[in-house]
Amino acid sequence: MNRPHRLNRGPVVHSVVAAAVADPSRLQAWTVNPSGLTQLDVDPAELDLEAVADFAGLAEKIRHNGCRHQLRMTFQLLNQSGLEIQLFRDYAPHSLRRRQRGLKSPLQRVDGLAEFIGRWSRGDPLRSLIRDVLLHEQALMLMHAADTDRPQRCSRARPMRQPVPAPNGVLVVRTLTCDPRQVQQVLQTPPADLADIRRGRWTFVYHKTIEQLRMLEVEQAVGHLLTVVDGRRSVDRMSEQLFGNSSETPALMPLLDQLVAIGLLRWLDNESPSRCT
Amino acid sequence: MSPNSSFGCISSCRRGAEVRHVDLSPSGSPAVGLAYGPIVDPLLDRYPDCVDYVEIPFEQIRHRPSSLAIAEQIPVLLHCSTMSVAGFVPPPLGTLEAIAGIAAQTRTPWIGEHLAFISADPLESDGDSAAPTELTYTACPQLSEETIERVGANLDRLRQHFTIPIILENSPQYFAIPGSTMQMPSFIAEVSRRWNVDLLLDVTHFLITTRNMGLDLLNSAQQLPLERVVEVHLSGMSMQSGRWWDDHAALVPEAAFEFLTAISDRIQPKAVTFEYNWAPELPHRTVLDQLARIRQMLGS
Repeated sequence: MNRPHRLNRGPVVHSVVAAAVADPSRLQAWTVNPSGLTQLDVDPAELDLEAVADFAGLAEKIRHNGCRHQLRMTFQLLNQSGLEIQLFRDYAPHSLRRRQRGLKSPLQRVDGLAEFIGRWSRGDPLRSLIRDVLLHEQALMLMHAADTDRPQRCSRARPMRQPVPAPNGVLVVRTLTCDPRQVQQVLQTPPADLADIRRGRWTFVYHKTIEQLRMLEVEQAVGHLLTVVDGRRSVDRMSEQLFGNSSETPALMPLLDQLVAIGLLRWLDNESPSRCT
Repeated sequence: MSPNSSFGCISSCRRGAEVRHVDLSPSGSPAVGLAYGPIVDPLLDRYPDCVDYVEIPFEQIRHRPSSLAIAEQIPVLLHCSTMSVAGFVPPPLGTLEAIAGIAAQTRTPWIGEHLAFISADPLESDGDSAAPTELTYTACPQLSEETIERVGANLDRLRQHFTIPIILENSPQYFAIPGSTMQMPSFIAEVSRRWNVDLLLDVTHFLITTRNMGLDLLNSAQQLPLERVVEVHLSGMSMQSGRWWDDHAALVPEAAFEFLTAISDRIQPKAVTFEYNWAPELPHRTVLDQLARIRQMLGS
């Protein structure tokens, strides 16, 4: 039996709105080709698909409520910058794919958002600020979640032959266009003015051992060096990786010694790399 | 007596080891409460008598039954987003039984449910065997005679499952719904009148709706049957992407308090709930000041 042709029947309208909110690809298809709505007996002129996409952004934002505790500054910046709905609307299709893969824990949600916001922020100073604050808060989340039950009491003495530096505990390095400590000060001083946030280049090391969790500001080159410390490469190999040859090894040694001295690194014995010297 | 009228007032209970129930008494002042979220436990630890009750969504209890432990400390009001009262897809029987069970357990005096939908039929193109589309957030329904009739049928069915009233909360409207033949105030008024149902006035939703849809706030309020408002919700709102949005992490705007003042001679709610359940933290002093302000404003 043919169903009666009547535009905008309630059940169909609800089905269309729900499908558009739940499935970004459907929403995109109707945006490109509004006649798809006409075929469903919904008048495309009566449905603002841009607004529906924003509403899907709200729903996506609410899915991240469980991360608000860890992403306080990120959410505050998003809200204050007026980019909250925009970000989550743009992220919704990617988020759906991740949820379909079962990636729903708070850390997984933040990882997905951080991955996405890297592309989303490219070339835009305000979005880059939000990205970097998110990367800072993600690093703190990683620190809190990290397992640190490995032996921490290592000698600070460098082995004589082929020394291998390793992270002492868990290390994450972030080079950011803002100083999150200053961002926090600005946000905590009402009325917060985002124009007061200083921009530039800062490198931070987030470090967790069984005894402590800390964030250290370091020179960018030090941050770069730390990113190639993996507990497997010798200092010669690190030099090759960073400079193309091992001639810088003598210059790296004292720097690495300093990083060992402040507890960020430890020396491994290359003969038995799993053991501290 | 109508099935949804003649509520008493919620009075505060003392802490104890047992589940506390909302105590109805005939005094005139509204109780003041908070929607259950991260700020509630720390606030109650420090100021155990600062609110008269905590409102918890059924969905939160279902997802994390341990959240109901708060009922040992303080009376609980049950809220709900699952019954799709203004929708065309009924909720599963098991869900209704679960809601009824928790309602009985908490002895909530009513269940606040959204005048909205959260489930919808699949599109025809998805085939006969496709499951309904389930949203994670309630959506504003089509504002039409067809939906009003459906709300009536849904309420008839739902009321068979509960010994307490369902009250309906106005949705925030973010965009026009195709096929709508009336504005939100008329829709709410007609639903309430025709199906004899009391209301949960979400002041912030109402502000959002009137602003987004270009309606005059006070004229719109004139159309509402405010005498049927049993509970009031207050939360924050924010302007994003050219529209106003519900924001339970933001403070109640001054406009919401001003609106409540403007209609205060027409409403006598039994409960006023602050919804800060998205906020990871808020300054205690700020929350306490707002609780005190509403008690003073509405005569508690």
